[in-house]
Amino acid sequence: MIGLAEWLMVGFGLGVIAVRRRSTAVTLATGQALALAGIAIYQAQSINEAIAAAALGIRAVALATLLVLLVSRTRETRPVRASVPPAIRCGIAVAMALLLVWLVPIANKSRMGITQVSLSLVGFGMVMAATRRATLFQILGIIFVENGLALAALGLTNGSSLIIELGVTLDLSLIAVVASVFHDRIFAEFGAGDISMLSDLRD
Amino acid sequence: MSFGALVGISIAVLGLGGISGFYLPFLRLPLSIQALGSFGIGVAGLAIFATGSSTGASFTNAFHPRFGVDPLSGLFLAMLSIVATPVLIFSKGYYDSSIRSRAIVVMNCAFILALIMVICARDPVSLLGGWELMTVIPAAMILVAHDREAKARRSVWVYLGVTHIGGAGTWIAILLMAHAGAIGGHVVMQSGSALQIAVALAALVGLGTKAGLMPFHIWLPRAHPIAPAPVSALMSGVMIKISIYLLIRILIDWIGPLPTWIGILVLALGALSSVAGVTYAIFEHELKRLLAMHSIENIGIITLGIGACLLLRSNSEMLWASFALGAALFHSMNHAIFKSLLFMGAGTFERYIGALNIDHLGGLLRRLPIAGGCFLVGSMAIAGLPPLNGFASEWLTIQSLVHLSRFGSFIDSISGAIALALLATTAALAVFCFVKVIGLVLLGSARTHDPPASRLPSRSMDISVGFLALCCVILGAIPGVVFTRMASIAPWNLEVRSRLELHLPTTGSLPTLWIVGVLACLTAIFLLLRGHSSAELAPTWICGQDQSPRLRWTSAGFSKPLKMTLETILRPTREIAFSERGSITQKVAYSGHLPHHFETHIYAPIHRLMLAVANTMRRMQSGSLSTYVFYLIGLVLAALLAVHVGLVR
Repeated sequence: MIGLAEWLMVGFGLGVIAVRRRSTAVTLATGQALALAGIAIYQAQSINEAIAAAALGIRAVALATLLVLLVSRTRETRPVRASVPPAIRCGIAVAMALLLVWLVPIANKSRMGITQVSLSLVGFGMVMAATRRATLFQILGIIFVENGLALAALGLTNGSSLIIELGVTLDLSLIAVVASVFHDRIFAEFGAGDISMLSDLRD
Repeated sequence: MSFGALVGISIAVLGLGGISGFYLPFLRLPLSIQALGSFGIGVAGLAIFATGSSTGASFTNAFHPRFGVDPLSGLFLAMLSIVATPVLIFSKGYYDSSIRSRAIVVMNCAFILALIMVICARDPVSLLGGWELMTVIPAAMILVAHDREAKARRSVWVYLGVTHIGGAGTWIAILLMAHAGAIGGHVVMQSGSALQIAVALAALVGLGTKAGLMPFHIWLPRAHPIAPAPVSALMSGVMIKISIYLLIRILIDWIGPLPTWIGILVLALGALSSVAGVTYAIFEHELKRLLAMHSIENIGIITLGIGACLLLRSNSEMLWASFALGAALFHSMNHAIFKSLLFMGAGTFERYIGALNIDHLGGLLRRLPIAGGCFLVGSMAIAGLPPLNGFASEWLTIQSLVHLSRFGSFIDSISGAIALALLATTAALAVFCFVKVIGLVLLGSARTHDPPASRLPSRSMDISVGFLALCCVILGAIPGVVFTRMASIAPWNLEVRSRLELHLPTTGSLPTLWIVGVLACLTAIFLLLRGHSSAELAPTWICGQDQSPRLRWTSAGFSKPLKMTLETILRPTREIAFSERGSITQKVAYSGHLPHHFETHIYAPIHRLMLAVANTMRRMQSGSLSTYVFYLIGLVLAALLAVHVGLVR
């Protein structure tokens, strides 16, 4: 059974894949991370689980702050054009999600819905990283994959573990910070956060 | 004091010597401390080897660092010490007190400690850790010594590349054995099982590469000559013997009786290395490179002994299998001694003359009597001339092969006979090669002006080579003392009665003491008859031309008859360039090249293939991040698909 929050996460994911503006994408991604935190809080049955769920919420806010700062620091004259049109991107993402759901064996049938949503988010993240040229969307792709894995962990273990969530939060924050620094450097060097410009650096 | 405590204290002293090299502005004291530690390790190792006792931990398959010494380790510790102690004393005169020299001396200590670590390791982690350190540290030393030379960097690159690719075999062998619980021989593998064959072949490739066994040898003639002389002595004298130590551990000690074809393969690799090594050595014109090629030859002779041991063991001739193992170990010891002596001698010549091209040397026996005399002893020993140690161990290897032909099955007998013939050829070619070396380097008149006295070797350098020359004579005179003990090391626990000379059943004995006595008497008689008279010097008639060093024998000229004889096999190339002015020849330039077939026919095609594959793979590197993410997605989907259809469980 897939609840409203899970559907929201999928919807936010597809939204990020489709939108063109970075600020809109950051808003939708933050919405997805908060929905994840909401699921964790809803499932929390002990103080530890509640703190772990709060850590997910803090993570969502911290990442949103970081990404908003990044967007404001690197104002672009016009958005970086994606190499694939939005409708096709969404189509590829949905196909990828369905393919993963078909291929990955699901052991716990009672949690099938959560697992399917998790796999969809992982697929969305990968497709986003592959089809978008703006560096910020590469970071969002990583965050999507992490959100998918966190949701799977929540769904499969009946609640979150404080240690694991803190570890994941730290891990993801570190990755996001490093990626942001890269974005910043690329922007400073080329005047746009466009990964296609890196191709010229080969050899 | 127990042997274990002595080993521990000696290692601590050695390490202290290394650390003090960092802080003290001069090198003599740090090197003396290191030599003291090395000597202590040798005493402890020799005592453990002689008494047949063990100390420290026993072998384990667990990944927990453990160290210990048994008789075989003790023998190799003694071997290390016999080489390292004179090398460290030699270094006192060889190195100046520059920062670079100090760095090399400190790394030299680390290198010796890495060698000790491999010998004393009793678990896979320490063994492989020491093995890697043993590979990397000499590379660092060479780079420090030649930091601005592109050729040296390339040689080090080849050394690291080949030894690491080949060295993967060592990792595979050790890890497979650890997985099977076979390290230390705790679990006996079934003879001919896939696991046993895999371990044996991986060990042959991995350890054979590091030992310089043909056809895995290409790094050796590049790396050994460019290292400083003391480092070359350690590399050629000890480092490649560590591979022999592990080869004996794995093939003879740990994995149980092997199928016959493995023994024949080992025999074939040994025969190939010995003959081809000495053949290529003859045509080398640079002294250290020539010595490096002889290392390949001698590793071949040692491998012949190991191969004979494996085959005799598979024919249940345990006594002769023990003798063959003893011959291999004895030749390892002897080669360590005379090769380090020769490398240090070459280092002395290089320091004195400033070059090592054989055509620039000459008359060194007269100019450097101690170093030259000791080099002469080392040359005779490596050429296998009686009454020196090289002769004794080669004689024992020949005896083992003779008995392989006698006791083995039909195939074994044929293999033994062919190996025997090739070993005899090797011995003859080695004599030919060292006649060239002695004639052109030590005898004759000088080809260069006498260098300043400051370049004369110091007393410590003379003492070091003198000690090793003495070892060559002693081990040649009373080889039975160590050989009988070495033959008793075999895991089938066959006690061989200790003697001074070499007594072997069915083939009589080699009365080494008598040979020494007779030769000493003949020499004394000759000297007495000669008295103080000496031949009067007279100018050589050379058709009225000026006498010039350029008209004397050259290395190329000496070896040319053999090169012409072997032309069909060796395929040498040469270029003669004439420069003329007004139809009068002004200058004739000659250059000859002898291609190494293993490089041109094995390594060069592999190298070209790898570059072609890399060039093709390069097209996949589009530089686009999106493409790389697509590769990743493809990989994930392929893996999932494999699981889905049941290809992977």
